[in-house]
Order: sequence, then structure tokens, then C-alpha cells
Amino acid sequence: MVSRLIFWTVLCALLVIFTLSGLKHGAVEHTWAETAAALFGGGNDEDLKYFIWHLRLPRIAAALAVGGALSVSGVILQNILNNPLASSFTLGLSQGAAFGATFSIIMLGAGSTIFTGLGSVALGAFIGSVLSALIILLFSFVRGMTPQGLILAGVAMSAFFSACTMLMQFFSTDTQLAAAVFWTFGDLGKGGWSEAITVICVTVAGLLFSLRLSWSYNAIQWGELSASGLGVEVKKIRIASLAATSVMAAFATAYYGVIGFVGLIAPHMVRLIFRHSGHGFLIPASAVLGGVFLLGADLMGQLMFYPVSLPVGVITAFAGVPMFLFLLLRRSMKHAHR
Amino acid sequence: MLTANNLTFQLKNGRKILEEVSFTLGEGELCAVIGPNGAGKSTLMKIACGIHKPTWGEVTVRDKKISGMKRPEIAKHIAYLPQFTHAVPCSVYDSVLLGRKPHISWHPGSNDKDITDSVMEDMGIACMRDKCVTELSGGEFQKTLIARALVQQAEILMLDEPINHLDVRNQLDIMDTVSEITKRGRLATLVVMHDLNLAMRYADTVMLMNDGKIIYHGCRGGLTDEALTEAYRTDISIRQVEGKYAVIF
Repeated sequence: MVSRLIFWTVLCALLVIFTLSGLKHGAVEHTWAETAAALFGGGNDEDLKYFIWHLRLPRIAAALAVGGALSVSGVILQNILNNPLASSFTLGLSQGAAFGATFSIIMLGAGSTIFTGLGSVALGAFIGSVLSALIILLFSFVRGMTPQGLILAGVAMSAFFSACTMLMQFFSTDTQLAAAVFWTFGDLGKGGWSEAITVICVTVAGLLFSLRLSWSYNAIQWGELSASGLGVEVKKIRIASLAATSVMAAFATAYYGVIGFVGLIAPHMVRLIFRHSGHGFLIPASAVLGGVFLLGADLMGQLMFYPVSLPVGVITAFAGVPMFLFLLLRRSMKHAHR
Repeated sequence: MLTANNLTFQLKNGRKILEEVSFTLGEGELCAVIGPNGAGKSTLMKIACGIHKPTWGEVTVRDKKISGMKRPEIAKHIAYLPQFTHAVPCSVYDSVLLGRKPHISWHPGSNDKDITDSVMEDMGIACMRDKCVTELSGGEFQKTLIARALVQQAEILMLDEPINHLDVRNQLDIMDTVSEITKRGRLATLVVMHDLNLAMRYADTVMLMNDGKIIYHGCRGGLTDEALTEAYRTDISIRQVEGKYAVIF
């Protein structure tokens, strides 16, 4: 049995290792001494200072914030929808964002691939993600709508937005198509400090919101009737949580593109290590693990085919699909033994 | 302590699940709700503890309407244990501590933990505090759930079929505990039961339901063979054997 102290120690160690590696490695390689000098204001290499302070540090901050946001969203969605496979990715929020971004690029001509501030592509992605979330939210207001029904609505929305995206891509020019496809590659290099800080603020707010409700989530685990008997207003919490997770996922996806499976991997890793953990521990542990995991995945993407840098979304998908199938198999086997 | 006035629960298709149900439940009273499947027992319980809203009628706790209370406030007055509860992988202690939920804002305090320890000691489950709930036997699991309802420190206890699927020893064990805590804590307890012999053995009052209506509510001695036969549509008679009621069918 891994103790929580060991868990946090390992996470902190990985965080330090990945952060230092992330500062040193990039498109241009430098020694540790040069990196340290540039980081603390010394040295004469102004280019390196710029790389570290304006490209690599915001990228690291973005990895931690996006990983945290997607993981916290995953934990909450899995709880309120009573489905271990629920996440902003499987609910169609990411596909909604991809649709919004594609719409901005192809239909509104916002073919810019360089993001400065909240660009029109990011705005389109944000609107697409929120639109998808709003439709799911509307479904949650339908009387008698079950959590399983919401998951199916998410699957349907996901298919719908994917179809719309493909339709627009079919009628686009080569340049527009390239820009739209490039956007869908989840990439942490898309944003600067302002984007990273925005996502950090949203993630911290989401984290506090979910920690405040952690005991309600513990109660909801026991079923809707048990939770109601314990004084939890299940429907209200389900709607508020759905809205909060949508905002977190929307901000993360709008700025950095589609990064799937983080919301599945981090919470389930914590659950596998700490089988009995309540949400008071599960939420912060998943947030930090998700951030560290995404940071590691991003680093792997940069180093795997150096000097070519792979989008982090590709790495998370390769890591996430086996996890998704494992969970599906485990769940099926559990049902088979009943 | 608990009063239900003319409770009616009607579905959209016009079918009435409950029809003008009224009753009162006093301190220290253990009332067994019996009746055939579909009689409206579980619906009555869900309405009485405010989970479902009645189409008409009102439930009051100490003359205060529960329709005007929020869920956490209701949970401070009424502890409800639903009919089907699946086990969640967590320790017995955490499972029982969850009963303090109506009293917890951010995190449980030392008072919440003291109450949990004390109830677990009383219920005889303190020895398995670190055991995983999914590894418990049916009887142990049911005791854990009852302990969780008790740490809510509500004055009214509502248990929906708490002894289903348990062997005789565990059924007696659970009902002994429920009866004892009702008397000791001066609680008002409503228990939905299918075992008529156990209902007659433990209940102070019996509420017989059929087709959404109360056919009989009163002391167990007043329950007639005719009322039971009519409700269950089969011949049932009550006899006294060595000072105890025996239901024969």
C-alpha cells in the first residue's frame, strides 16, 4: 500500500525533474549552466532568456494548468455521471471546440496559426465547447434524464460536431484545411503567459469549487437516493458541476487544442493506487498528477523525434487509449462476475 | 414528532401511487410499514423524507413543514436508508463518517469524528473500521449503513427494507439494534418490512398499506386476519404462540 507521503514525494520529484528538463530542452539545446544562468537573469544570451521566460516557462505552466483542469473535470464528471469513462473528451466538449475552431478558420477566415491573446480561433473553440456543454446541460434539465442518458447525449453531440467539422473541411481550401487540422493537434506551445495565467486562474477556481463539494461527491458515489438522504441536493450539484467542468475544459481546449484522455488517466491512476480515497484527496491528487503527466508527455513529445516536436495530444492519446480499454474491460469483467 | 397529512402522489397518467395518506409517528415509536409489492410503501417513505414532493398533502416534523426546508436541513431531522444501496470501495469508518454530511461544510471536525467513533463502538463495528466496505458480509454492510444513519443524529429514522436478503440471525441482529436505538434515543422509526413475523415481533405500531392507501395503522394487537388477507389476497392469520405473535399463511 503506497502511502500518501510517498505519492506526494514522487509527484514532487517528477515535477522538479520534468520542469528542469522542460526548461533545458527545446528547439535549441543549451547546457545546464547556460539554462540556469538565463533563468536567474545572468548570462548574455538574450535569445535563451527569451526562450526560457517567454516560451518554455509558459509552456510548463500551461501543461500543469491544462493537465489539472482536464483531470479535475474528469474526476467530477465521472462522479456526477456515475460513469468511469466520462471526461470532457468523451462528453463531446473537445469535439465542440474543434468544430468552433474549424468554423473560425474556414467560415470566418481566421486562418492565423499564431496565437496572440484570445484570438478568433480560440474564441471560436471556446464558443464551440460551451455550445456543446450547454446542449448537455439542457439535457440534464429534462425530467427523468439519467446520467447514462447524458453520456449518450455527449456521444451523439460528439458525432454531430465531428460530422460538421468534416463537412467544413471537405469544402475548404488546402491552406484552411491545414490550419484547421493543425489546430486539432493539442499543443501546449500555442499559448503564451496570458493564456497560461488565464487557464491557471480557471483551474484554481475549479479546484476550490470541487473541493468545497468533495463531501457531496463522496455521498453521490453511493447513489442518488443515498446522497439525497444525506442532505445532498444531487440535481443542483450535478448541474453546477457540469457547468464548472465545462468552463474548465472549454478554456483549456480553446487555447491549446484537443488534448484527450488526461481526464481519464490521472483520476484512474489515483484510484488504482488509493482504492479507498475520498474526493477530498482524489481531486487535488488527480489535479497534480494530471499536470505532471501532461508535462511529462509534452517533454516526451519534444524529445522523442528531436528536433521534430510532436503535439502533446498525440502522446496523451497513445497513453490514454490503452487505459480507456483497460477500464472498459475491467468494468465488463466486474459485471460478468455479478 | 412526524405528521403526514393527506399525502397524495399522482403520476402524469393520472395513476395514484399514494392516496390521502395520513399518519403520525411519536417519539420512541417503531412503526413497521407492511403491505404487498406496489402498495406504495417505498414511495411513502421517499415523500415522508422529502426526496419526492407529494402532489397534495404535507409532511411536518415537530410542526414544521418539510416542504419549506432545504435538503441538508431535512437530513438533520430525518435519516433515510434506501432500499437498494450498492457498496462503494471505501473504509467502514469513512462510510459511517459520511453520515455527518448534513453537518459538514468543508471538512469533518473532531466532533464529527467523535460521534462516528462512539456510534461505531455502540453498534459493535469499531473492530472493522479499516475494512473495505466491499469486503463486508450482508449483515455487516447493513449495520454499517444503519450506523451511518445514526451518526446523522436525526430524530426520525426511515429504513426501507433493511433486512432483505439477510439470514435469520442477521435479521434478528439488525432488528434488535433498530429496536434498541429507537427506545434509547427516543427516535421515531419507520421501517418498511416484508417479513410479517418480524414486523409483529419488533414493531410498536404496524401500518398496513395496499393500493396506495393505509388499511390499518395502530398497535400490532389490533391488526386483524381480515385486513391482512384483503391486502395480500391470500389467507393469513395471526396467532399468539408462547406470548409471541405468529403470522401463518
